[in-house]
Amino acid sequence: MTNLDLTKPTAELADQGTPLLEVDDLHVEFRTRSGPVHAVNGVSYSLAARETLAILGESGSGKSVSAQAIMGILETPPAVITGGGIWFQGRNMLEMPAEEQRKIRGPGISMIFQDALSSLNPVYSVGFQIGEMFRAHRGMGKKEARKRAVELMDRVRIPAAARRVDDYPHQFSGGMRQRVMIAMAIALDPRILIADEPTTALDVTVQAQVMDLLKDLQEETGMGLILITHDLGVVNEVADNVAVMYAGEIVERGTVDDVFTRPAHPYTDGLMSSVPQVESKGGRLQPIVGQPPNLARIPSGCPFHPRCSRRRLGAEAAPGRECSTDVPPLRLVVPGREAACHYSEEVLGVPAQ
Amino acid sequence: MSQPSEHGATAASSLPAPVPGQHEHSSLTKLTSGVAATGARGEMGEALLEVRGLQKHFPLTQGIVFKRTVGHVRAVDGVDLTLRRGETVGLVGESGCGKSTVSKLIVALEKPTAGSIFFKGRDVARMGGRALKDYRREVQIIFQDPYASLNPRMTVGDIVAEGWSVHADVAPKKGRLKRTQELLDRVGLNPDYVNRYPHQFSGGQRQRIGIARALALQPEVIVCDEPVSALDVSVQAQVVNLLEDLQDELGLSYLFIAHDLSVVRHISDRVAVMYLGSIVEEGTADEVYSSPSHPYTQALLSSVPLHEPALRGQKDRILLQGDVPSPADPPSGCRFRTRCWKAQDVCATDPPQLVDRGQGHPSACHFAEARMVVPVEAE
Repeated sequence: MTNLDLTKPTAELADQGTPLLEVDDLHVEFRTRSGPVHAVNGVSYSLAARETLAILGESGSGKSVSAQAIMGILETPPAVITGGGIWFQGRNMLEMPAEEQRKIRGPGISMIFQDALSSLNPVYSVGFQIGEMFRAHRGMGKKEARKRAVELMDRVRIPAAARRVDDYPHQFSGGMRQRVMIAMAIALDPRILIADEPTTALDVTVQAQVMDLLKDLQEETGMGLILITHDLGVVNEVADNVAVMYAGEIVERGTVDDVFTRPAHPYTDGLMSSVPQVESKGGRLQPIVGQPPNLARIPSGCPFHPRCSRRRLGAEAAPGRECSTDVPPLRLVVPGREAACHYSEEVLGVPAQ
Repeated sequence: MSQPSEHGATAASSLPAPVPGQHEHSSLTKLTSGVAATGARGEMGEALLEVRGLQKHFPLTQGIVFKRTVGHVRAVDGVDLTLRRGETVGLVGESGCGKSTVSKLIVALEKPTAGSIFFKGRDVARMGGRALKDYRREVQIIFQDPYASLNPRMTVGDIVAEGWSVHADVAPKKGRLKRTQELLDRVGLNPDYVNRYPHQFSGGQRQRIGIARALALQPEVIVCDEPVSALDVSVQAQVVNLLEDLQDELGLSYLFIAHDLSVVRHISDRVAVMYLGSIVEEGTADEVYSSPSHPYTQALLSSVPLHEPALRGQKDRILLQGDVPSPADPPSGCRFRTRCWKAQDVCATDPPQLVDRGQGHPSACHFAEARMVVPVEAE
């Protein structure tokens, strides 16, 4: 490996200022018998050490597919990466030979999934599965790997780790299984942890425990965290920055404080007012009309325009900003905030430049 | 209105609502005209459904040929609930607490081990034949999974109209297609879709079909078992609003079962919190959310992530240790004591009753004390 050094702890890199990961204009499509499905259409973002980036979106918005592309676990075919680049510490992973990509997975980037039960192998003990990371990547023996597995289980706060290391996944509760998966993912001190809906299948009290654990681990190691979720509350409590996805595109991006206080894209705005909050009973909910689009037939122009209450069609629209024909680019609306809407200034209530 | 009652349809709005915080009397529309003919709807606030000491224990068996019972899963273990006319009672709890079993017991899909369910004062367990058939029409259910709860081989029209083949008196044979189309229109679906199949609809639309099916029999009570949990965030609000509109229009009563505390607060008049088979706290939505007094309710509320950046870090964090104990072998005394920071010796011996201990609403804790956990949003 040329300039890829995974031996130094992530925390040391944090001050250098170079992003750990840069995703540049990523396109992914699924080629199915009934035609291509455009799951990711030009997604770009970067992640620095210690940063938590939330990718917020509903089902079918392409948030998981973009993460799977980064991790290199897309099933190909049917999925094809049709364009863009994924730069990990300055090197394009898409142009690497498979063997080098494999070396990044684990110590470089690692991932946890929503459903811990189906992500763990039911016929191996959890200790064996956690230890596999050390055996495969570090060439350790079985005994040593098992010892390290116990340490890791302690670190993710599984009670009585030494006794439970030889138990099988079905013997653990949902929250504990999620911890086992987190233990596997952080075994090699990854630079980046991608968490794909890590708490969606969990109860709310367990969700709070798991999110706390992830935050603590991030503070210890300085890893970058990509949090994929549809839960606005989790984003608000955990993330620094947020990218809102709709129909395979990022429609808004900024710090969580900014985006949640004053959304600049009608979709983000609609999402906020359609969700009830626990802190107040609130008035009538204001839902977004219609359904999320079918990715095989994404609407022309702005993909959100058929559901948008602020859309401008035909003569109403400013030249070059007709919502059903002109695709709005992701642009800087106010400092620190990007949105893909022709009329973001109106949503924000600021004068157009 | 054919029946004389204390207040006619016109006088209804002038009467003060018997229970504060309830929806106003609504005009009866065409859809309910059938019900109005068979028996006028009673007063708002009258107890429709009363559940007393409800228990359901499922046997745990061992052996293949000679099965023997080695224990019981106490899924529901002493639940008391009252649902009044026109109100929404929210039942919240985490997975495995028994809330779905309660819903199955109420719609008579399961037989309780002990305890009883009274509908308009009549014990459901003692109902036979005709009375039970009537009860099953009056109390309908909407399920969580809009994919599994609709028969893929039936058209939407057949699904909605299926109940009429049993309860033929609800809709005369002649006008059924028209009624089906009216129902579809009412739940926000195109009436021309009667001949389509469930797979042609999205999750939110399927849930609307489920709602139309429940409405077809002109029920008084609808048990909603996690009706929006499987839906996308932007679609959830559409279904919640539809349920609220239908309630205002038809005077329905809902038992709304969910694990999402925010949705429950939004839709419910009263809320009951369940833990390991029994109710630990009950009160109006405001009482339970602004001054929770049971430690479990407090922990539950403090775990819900808030949506306002300004409120971040302002709430009281209570992190519960460990997992919910197995309902096959629940702790003695108070069920929550194994995870409770207030637990003392008395908690292991005396199961606390669900009573008001001076905090303003019933709470099943020996040391109940109101405490604000979720910051109230400044408005």
